[in-house]
Amino acid sequence: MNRRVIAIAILCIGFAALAFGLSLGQHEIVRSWLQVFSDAYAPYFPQPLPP
Amino acid sequence: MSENDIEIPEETERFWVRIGRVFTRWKKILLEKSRPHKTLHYWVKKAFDELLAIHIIRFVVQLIAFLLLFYAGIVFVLGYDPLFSTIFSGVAYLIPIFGYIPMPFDMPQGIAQGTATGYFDMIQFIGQAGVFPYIAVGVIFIVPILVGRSFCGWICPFGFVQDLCSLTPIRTRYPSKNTDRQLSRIKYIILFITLFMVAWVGSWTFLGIEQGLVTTLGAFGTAFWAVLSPSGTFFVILPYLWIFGIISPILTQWNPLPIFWEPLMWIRIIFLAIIICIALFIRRPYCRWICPVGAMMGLVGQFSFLTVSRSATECLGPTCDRQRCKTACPVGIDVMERPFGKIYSPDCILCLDCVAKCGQDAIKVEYG
Ligand code: SF4
Ligand code: SF4
Repeated sequence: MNRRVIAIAILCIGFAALAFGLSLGQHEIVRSWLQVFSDAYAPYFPQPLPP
Repeated sequence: MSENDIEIPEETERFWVRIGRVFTRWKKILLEKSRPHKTLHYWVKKAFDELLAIHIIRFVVQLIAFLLLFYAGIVFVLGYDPLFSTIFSGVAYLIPIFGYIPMPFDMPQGIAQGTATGYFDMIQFIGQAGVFPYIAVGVIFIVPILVGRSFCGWICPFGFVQDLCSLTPIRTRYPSKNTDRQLSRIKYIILFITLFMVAWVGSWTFLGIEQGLVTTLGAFGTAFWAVLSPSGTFFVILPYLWIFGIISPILTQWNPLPIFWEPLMWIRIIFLAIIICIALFIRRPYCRWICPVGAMMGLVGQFSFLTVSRSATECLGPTCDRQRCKTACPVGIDVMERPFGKIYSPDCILCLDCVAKCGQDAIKVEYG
């Protein structure tokens, strides 16, 4: 198959996935999930040095 | 003394003469712009010829990206921003190799410690938490199609670290084609294992039966490759050890960190050290053989609109006495061995070294 057709097909899938992810509000999931994650790793981080 | 008698210092005069020359040159270029046969490549090449060599521009871009991300790593480790007094945070979907470090853009409210991550780490973290990472997958499909793997050649700070290693006077070795081919399978195997683990842990988490599995996997249960990734070691673990393991205990009192006793951390550091040692005499070994991010971008990026292309009419082929394109490529692509026309390779990082090295102007940048 023509490379350009494949490229455009992949691009369409990519944009569809991006739009779907945004419509599901996944950017928020990402943020809140990362927050949970950084809390989970908090014990490894001692008190920060004073600014 | 009348106004006309004011003496103009010689340097000032020379300065204005130079400005005049630059102006005339650019006027000439802009007038040429209206000619229809000028391709994108012509303009890229012209801009580079006129302003700076490609490798210098690339070095500057890489250096800026490196400093930015190095600083971001330190901000993450400290938990506050020592220079700008605000914690920068956000999610850097476009930076594919980082785990959980803050970026100097996009500051949402209400996040105490900024976190950001690249989309490959995102796939692992979100996927292994049982959610299908649509956004990250979307970006991984879109970016390499639009600009190929130019991220690897121009932005990736770990690629830059390897480029710096190859600047040492140690003689560069070129692995044989066969060795190269065999070794470059490793990155696809790592990519496959990582995606498999994401699917496995992710689906079990989705079904709510992941407890035993995640406990067994330990750190790998959170994000499979991100816990080994040498770029994470370089930009997060090393500053962490340096600040809290060395500077902080000296300033206050000795307070061994829990992470010091973790074998995984030492495995990471040894892995990073091995890669850096190899990078001293082989160019970009991690990118060529190990990096699953590069592998994934390459799989999509071989269909990229942005490519380099060798012209059948301008290339002198075997009669060319320079043959510099043969060894120009940091990822070991022998441009001469490829068919004429666009070079479709999952390994090409669009560094444009081959374009710059070709004395015949036979290798061009093409889009579309
Ligand atoms: S292959 Fe991996 S380490 Fe190399 S430049 Fe690309 S993302 Fe960076
Ligand atoms: S083929 Fe050319 S542009 Fe691509 S990685 Fe090799 S030297 Fe760089």
